[in-house]
Amino acid sequence: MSRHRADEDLESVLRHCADDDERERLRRLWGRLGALASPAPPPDLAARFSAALHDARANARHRRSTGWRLAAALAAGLLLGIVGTRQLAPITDGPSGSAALELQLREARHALALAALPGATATSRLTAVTALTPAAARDARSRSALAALAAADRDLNVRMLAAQGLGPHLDDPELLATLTGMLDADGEPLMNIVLLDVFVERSATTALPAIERLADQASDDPLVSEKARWAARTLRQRRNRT
Amino acid sequence: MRTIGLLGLVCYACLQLPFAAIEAADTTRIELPPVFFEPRSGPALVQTGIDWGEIRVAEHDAEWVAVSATVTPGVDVQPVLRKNELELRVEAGEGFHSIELEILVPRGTSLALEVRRGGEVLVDGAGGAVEVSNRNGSVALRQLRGAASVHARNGSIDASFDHVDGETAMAFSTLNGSVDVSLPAGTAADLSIRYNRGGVESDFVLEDASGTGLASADVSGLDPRETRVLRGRINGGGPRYYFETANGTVYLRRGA
Repeated sequence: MSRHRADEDLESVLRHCADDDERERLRRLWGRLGALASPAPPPDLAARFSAALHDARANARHRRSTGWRLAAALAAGLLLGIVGTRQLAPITDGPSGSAALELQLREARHALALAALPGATATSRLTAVTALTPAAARDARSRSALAALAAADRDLNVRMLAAQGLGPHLDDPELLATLTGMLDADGEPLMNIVLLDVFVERSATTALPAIERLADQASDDPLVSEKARWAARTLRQRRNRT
Repeated sequence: MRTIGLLGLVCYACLQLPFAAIEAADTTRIELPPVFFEPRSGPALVQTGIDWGEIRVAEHDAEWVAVSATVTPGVDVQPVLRKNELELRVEAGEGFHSIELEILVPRGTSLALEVRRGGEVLVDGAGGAVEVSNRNGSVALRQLRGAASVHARNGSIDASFDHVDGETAMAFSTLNGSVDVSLPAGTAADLSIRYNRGGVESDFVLEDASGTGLASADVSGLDPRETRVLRGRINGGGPRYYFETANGTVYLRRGA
């Protein structure tokens, strides 16, 4: 379907099913979506992304400089953004246009979030994280993007929010291993507190060895050690109960 | 409580030591030539990071960036311009160095500011996105008109917005200190507040509030190591605003 036709369909649906504010918001979103470039992905895209993610995770086991954190997040975000923008479905015709449009706008918002990840400002990446979090339940790309941000973003708030967004998906052993690795690697006390909360909330008993290591370390802040001991005790009790 | 007070006193005394040293040391004044962004290259960004000292930023009605600095011997400031991004690279030798950096930026400029060891960050007016990180010391942001992501590991955050970007998420976090944010009365947002020791005081009525840290609820029965979480919407909801402090209170104030 042509872009022009899609614009007309969007206008038609909006006239019938949205109030002024919603109409204006969707029109702006649609305009931004139309402005996105969609270059053809290189043939080795998947291999390069896997390698970048692998490197980011491997490096996460060591203390890192903010430079590579940003570089890894940008590389992963850029590749994911390209994939995301290319996988947008065309807008649908037919009588159920309203529901379909809503679905596609959700997809559009999701694609925009992926495309925004290399954004220079922390607040644009925060916005992307909040858009990716609800999508992570059904979309592996969102989970990968959140994992890359949690491990590598230079902004602590972005890392913390991304880690929280991954909390509900800790039944994925790879994600659990990634977050557990961060407990060893991320030196920020507040990030440790967020991760401990995620592990306790999800009863992630396999994270116990990393939590116990943290509890034994002399932390910059006594609350972290105290909280790690509490988290270890809580998880041990839950494991023994089961 | 006494232990926390004593720890706070010791931390404060430690933080004051470098500033006592800078007062005693010789300082030099540096004035950089005006820096112009490349025309039509997109929203401007100024970024810089220092180890010790103070970063002060304000807006002015001009198209260039003006930079001046008071530095201890051995410190230099180099502007690195990439189209619409200006990095102020602070170069210092071995040992303790401190810098007071004053930056005037065109209206609408975004900022990325970092104090890696200790000091203060003060921003007086910013129309773009603001990203601040301060390891030891406070952050004060006034007359903001966009969005912000702020972290102070050991220090308080004080931010007041004249206007907020209605589509952009924001976050304010500190390990030890309070978070005090003033938002315009009509701000619509989804709030998420986490704290361990402290509380929440809000001028806004939180709609559909949920969590374990409701402001009106008695949380004395909870384990202090458990993080309290409070979620809710203001003015019907909007982008997500995230607040976190481990030791301190979150204040949400309703501005004009």
